[in-house]
Amino acid sequence: MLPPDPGGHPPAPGPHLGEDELALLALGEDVEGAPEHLTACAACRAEVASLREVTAAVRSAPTPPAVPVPAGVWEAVARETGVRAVPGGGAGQAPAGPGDAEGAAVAPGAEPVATVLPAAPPRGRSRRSWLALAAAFLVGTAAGVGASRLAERDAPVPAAQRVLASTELAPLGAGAAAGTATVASVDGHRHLGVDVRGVDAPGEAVLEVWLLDPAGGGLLSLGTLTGERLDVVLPDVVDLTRFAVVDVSREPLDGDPGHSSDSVLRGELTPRA
Amino acid sequence: MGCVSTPDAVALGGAAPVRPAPAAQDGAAGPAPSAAGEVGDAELALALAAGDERALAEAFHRFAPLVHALALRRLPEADAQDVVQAVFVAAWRSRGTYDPARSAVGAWLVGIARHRIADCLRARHRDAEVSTGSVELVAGPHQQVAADPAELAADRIVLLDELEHLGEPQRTLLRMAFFEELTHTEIAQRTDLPVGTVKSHLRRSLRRLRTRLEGDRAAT
Repeated sequence: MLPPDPGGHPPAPGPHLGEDELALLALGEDVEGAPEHLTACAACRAEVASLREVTAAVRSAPTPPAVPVPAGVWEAVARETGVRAVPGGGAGQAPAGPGDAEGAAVAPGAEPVATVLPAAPPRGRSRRSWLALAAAFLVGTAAGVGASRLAERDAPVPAAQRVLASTELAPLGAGAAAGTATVASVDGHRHLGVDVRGVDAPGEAVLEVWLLDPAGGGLLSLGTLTGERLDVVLPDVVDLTRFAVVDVSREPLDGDPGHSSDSVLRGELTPRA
Repeated sequence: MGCVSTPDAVALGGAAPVRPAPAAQDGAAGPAPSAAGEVGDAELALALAAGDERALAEAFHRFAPLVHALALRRLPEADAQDVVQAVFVAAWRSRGTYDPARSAVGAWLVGIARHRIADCLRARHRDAEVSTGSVELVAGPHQQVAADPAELAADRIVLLDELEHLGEPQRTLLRMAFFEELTHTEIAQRTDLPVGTVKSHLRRSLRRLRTRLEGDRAAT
């Protein structure tokens, strides 16, 4: 379809060019009679020019202009994502050590461990310890103690405390920080329990727990950790399919109630069947 | 951080940095890119979607300079660097929703970059309104920057991606027209297709590419 010819101009000689002809012109072919028409017809000229942008871009130099990026930019990306690999390859590549498979590729579509429900027998070390932690939370014992598959299977789950969702919290930067978040239904209320360990002493700051809505950008503060733990009851209106990400941030005591952007741990809640 | 360092930037971080199960134990390993060797686009895309850290580093190596060049067209240096950072952080956090079958890594990153640049321009715009009441953008409407080498290169990445997603015979026909610069009659002879069929395929495919280009540019 052609845009309407702007008013006020004398009519172009002959009928407008057909869409096939316009495309051929944009691809660089000669079309009989076209030059005369284009000289007089702004609408057809604009259409060819618009299609020619496609041709020009596709046929442009395959080597894009590159403005070198200061090293600090990648370091900031690495810090925010926790990625340890190094651009450009070579000796700095992140090692994928045994039992630490963060560098390993998995088949597309395969569920990452943190979002796999523990219905099948655990396969990896990280899932086992995560399960042990979840079980430990349920029976109210110290986290991380007695992490064995036997203990997990035998952990009694009181009927009144049903785990609705959980996740392992992973560090956003370097370091040994870790944690778990578990949502359990207790007497009809949803309790969120967050446990952290190995977080660097925050100094003049507190650790605050948030729920994030990754799609819509929403942010909900749930309170600050005392020691290495926070237990809160979630308001009924909070939809965990929307606010699915648990975030722990370091918050300076500066009077700003907003998120400091200094996240230390994060994990996405996975509902349990 | 400058204009992209908003609470939204935090909240937009979606998936947690999860630890994939050891592939060797699962027997479910995808094509693992070699650490140092040249990795193909398809492999890079699969590895990134699967959460391979090396894929993010490799994507940064390949595309950060272009993203930087794109951002510098419209933003001052400090903000441009923030955009580069935000693009790759966003790419990592949203890798769970990245579908390698739908777009190549480069085209995906260009799309993210254009949105981030637009966000940054809007933030600057707001700040300018608040502080001086005036609106001052670094660059004008996209027509003026379209001929810029960085914009052209970004367009090319996006268009080649769209070209790859055309069905056959459209893809082959358009490739012949673009890269071998054959006329439609020459293409018809080579492919044994009727001239009218070739013409209408070329017309429709070219317009489809333009639609994609306009959609991608609309971000900025």
